[in-house]
Amino acid sequence: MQTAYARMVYDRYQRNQRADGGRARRRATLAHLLKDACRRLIAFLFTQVGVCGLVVAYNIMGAFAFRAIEGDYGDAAPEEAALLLREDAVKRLWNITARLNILEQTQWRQEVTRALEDFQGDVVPLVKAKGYRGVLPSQAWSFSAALMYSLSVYTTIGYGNLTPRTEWGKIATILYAIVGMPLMLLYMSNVGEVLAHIFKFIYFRACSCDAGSMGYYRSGSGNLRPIPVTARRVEEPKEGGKKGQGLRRTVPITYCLMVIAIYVACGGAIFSQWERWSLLDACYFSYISLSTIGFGDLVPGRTVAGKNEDEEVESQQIIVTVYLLVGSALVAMCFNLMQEETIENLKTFWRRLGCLRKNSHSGNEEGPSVTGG
Amino acid sequence: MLFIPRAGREQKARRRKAITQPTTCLRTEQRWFKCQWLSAEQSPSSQAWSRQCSVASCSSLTFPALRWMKMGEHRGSGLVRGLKMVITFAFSHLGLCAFVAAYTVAGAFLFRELEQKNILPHYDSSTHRAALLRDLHNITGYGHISPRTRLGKMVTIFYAIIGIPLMLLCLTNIGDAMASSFRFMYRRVCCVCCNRNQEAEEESPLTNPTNSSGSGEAVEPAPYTPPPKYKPSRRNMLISPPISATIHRGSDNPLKPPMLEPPSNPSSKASTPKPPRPLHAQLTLNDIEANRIVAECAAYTKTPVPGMIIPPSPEHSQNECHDYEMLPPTMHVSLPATSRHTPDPSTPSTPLSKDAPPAEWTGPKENGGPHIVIEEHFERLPSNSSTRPGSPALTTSTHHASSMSLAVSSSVSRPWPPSTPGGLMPYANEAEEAPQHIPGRQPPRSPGKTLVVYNTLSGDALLEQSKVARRMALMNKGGFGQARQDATTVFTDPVSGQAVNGDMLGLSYRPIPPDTSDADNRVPIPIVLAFVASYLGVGALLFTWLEGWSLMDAGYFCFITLSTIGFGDFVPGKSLGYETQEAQIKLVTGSLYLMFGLAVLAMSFNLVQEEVVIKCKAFALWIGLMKE
Repeated sequence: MQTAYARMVYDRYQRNQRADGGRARRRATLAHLLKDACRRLIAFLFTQVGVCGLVVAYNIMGAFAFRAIEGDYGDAAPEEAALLLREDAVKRLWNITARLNILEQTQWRQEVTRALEDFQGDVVPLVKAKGYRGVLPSQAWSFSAALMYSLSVYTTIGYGNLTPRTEWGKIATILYAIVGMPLMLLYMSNVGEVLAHIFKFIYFRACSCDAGSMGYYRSGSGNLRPIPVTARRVEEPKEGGKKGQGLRRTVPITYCLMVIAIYVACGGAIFSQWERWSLLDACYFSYISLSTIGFGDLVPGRTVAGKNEDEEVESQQIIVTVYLLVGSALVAMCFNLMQEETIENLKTFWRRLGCLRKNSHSGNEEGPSVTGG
Repeated sequence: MLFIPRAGREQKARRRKAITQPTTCLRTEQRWFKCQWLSAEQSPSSQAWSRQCSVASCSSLTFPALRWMKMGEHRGSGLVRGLKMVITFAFSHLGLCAFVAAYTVAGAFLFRELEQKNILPHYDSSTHRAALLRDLHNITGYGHISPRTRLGKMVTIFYAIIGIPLMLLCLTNIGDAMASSFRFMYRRVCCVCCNRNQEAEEESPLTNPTNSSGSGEAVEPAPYTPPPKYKPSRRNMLISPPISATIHRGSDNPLKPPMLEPPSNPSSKASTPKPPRPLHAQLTLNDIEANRIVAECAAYTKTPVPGMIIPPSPEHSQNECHDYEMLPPTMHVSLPATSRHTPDPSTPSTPLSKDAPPAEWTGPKENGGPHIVIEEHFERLPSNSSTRPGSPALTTSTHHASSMSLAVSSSVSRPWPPSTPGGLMPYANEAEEAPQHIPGRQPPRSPGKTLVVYNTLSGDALLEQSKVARRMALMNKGGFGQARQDATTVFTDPVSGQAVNGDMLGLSYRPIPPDTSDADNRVPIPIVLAFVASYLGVGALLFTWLEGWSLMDAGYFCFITLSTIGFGDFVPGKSLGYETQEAQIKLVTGSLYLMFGLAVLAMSFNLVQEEVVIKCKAFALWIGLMKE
């Protein structure tokens, strides 16, 4: 009873405190209202939905920015140099043809081969060192290509098929990465956590395991509700808590890997259709992108002018961007789920080796170096 | 792609660590507590191995394991022992690096074999070197070398699956080691500066003059004045202070004070070495309230208090923080074993009754022993110094969690930075009500009993303790509907003797978890950022000199590489092809720079992550995402 009284006192005290704040708030000025609104907006932005929207908006903004910087005001020097080289080569070929009065195959072929080898030798360094792409920057940096480029920057994939040539483009890339990478990490952790919860929910429901083991209970209406944090008790996992022995508290790693594998396979199937790659190539591309390695040898869409100009390239690239964003969240989810399992396995492993001292609930066995200081 | 561990729950885990000895100053005058990674309280199965520990920081598992292996006793035969040593080595720094290097070289040979057919003839001689670099660049993904054969692509996939976590593990290990050495160096540098400052300013003796026994007049202990530069701020508060609240029963008859330890001169008011006397004001509670407080303190900390039977609560567990309200509301109170006077029939005879002798109980060792002392204090004049029947606990010296008594010693660095008038803890209304706050001057008091609770509890327990104290303050404030004329509560830090705002207890004194396990200070974020930026600058200069790129291009290359984006438009040695010796030297230099840069990045992540998390939490609190 006295405890309840104390609690009442405490509540009254707190209400007094809050009341003082309320009185002040009634006299709030426009500045206060604005500040409050800003605060609410920022709070919303950092929820899950907000973060997703933030990432997408950041991507689109980057696409526009890079398209302007590198596309419209881009550096076309390699293309112009290549143009000059080509014209020189054509002139040289004409001279060869004109010189030989009688078109004799072997000699003509020899001379032309040499001419073309020189041309090749000039063009390849242009490609390698100067980044010659074959199309003008304004064509190469279409909106969807810039979208993929922005994605490759802040997810640290870094394909490299499109790279900035101008100084401003490089500076913009650096700044875009500095802001974008923490944002991406935030996105991955937030959305990954949500997805992990959903996945655990589905898994435990599907395998009809004890839902209480993972923090859910059945409410009166039969729904699964999460146990509020204050009431949760941290439980010691049973020794060798495999299926059937103890409570299963984590999703096994195989399921997580399966999810990623299925996602990669789906992506591979779709891309192989679009880009006419083999299935292995498409899966390889999906995997290399999702793991953020991003070689760039295989990239959907064509930054180099090819024979078939598809209208759908743009939409394909946008779909690839969305695919990669969702895939990153899935990867984060799998990391999230695998951590727990990995840690528990490692604990079991260490314990079996006799390296860990078992700490039971009751006793306090001192670790070997407790008082070591 | 580096994952930052979910530090929130890790911090919560760390908060529950027992607190051990305070360590020396790192940042100006602040004293930090070093939290023992391994402690008696630590249950490695629950909190420490936080569920949110990332894959990358799973290597942190290896450290405690390492220590256990090295310092613990080895069970089993020699073979098992040998196996353990091998595994220990394998997971140590050296072992991991060697493993990664071996993995890289193996991959080099493997890919060379696979991709040999596809390489044009004039690249043949350097395929090996190129393949080696391709592995090193696997995380960044330059792309100028990539597999062409089907088998090569598949092998690349599996190589990456194993290699990337391995690399992350290695990086984290190296990052941890480098971070601790960075912190150590920073602390050395900082302490050199701050020691010089401290010598100039700090004059208050941390040790009190010991009174020789038998002297009639006790010497007033020198008050502890904090160095003027110190400004406690929220983030610096590590733990709640030991709280001492005096419950003074105002109208008691003066009792002859029995000493708790054999005094040299029983009648003298002198006492043995004492810390600066806390300033007690008068808080009047009735017996029931006081007994309840004692009972609750005792119940919470599992201190056996003679004269009280506390029903054991099944929910109590050392590692758990349970709410104040969950304590059993009713306590069975029985008569004490000895009583000098006839017990007052109106009030139950409790340790705080008039007739109960002063007593002292200590909690069990594992709790980090709260020390509940009920002392007699008697009338004293303002000029007299503080006297207190010496409690043996006061003479012990360390805030040692596994020691049973409290840590009130003037010779050791204060566990709590005392409040300064200009600091975070202003003297509130209590200050006005308790007139004397000048150290050394004691208000005249009528005799009574003092309940002093010292504690060396760890994080959450301290929070609870301060909640208890807060309740006491609330009760004192007339929350029970009546105004108390002499209702003043001053919570004092018994070490420094300075008053502490009772309102702030439990709220502001939030036990902020200490730093990472083996570090004592936190390097401020700007310094780490400056270090990383300087590394980028050094790399830019290096590649300008080596490759002949412009400074802008070299800086761009360094950034793109270190952030693991890796476009591949700039690659060291690319322009020269792969066949010359010079090009290969440049490739090797670039790879070394990359690897060391990744380690530097891991180190900087390690250094700033706690600060970043704290700032994000503060931000989230501000914007209202999180509630307190």
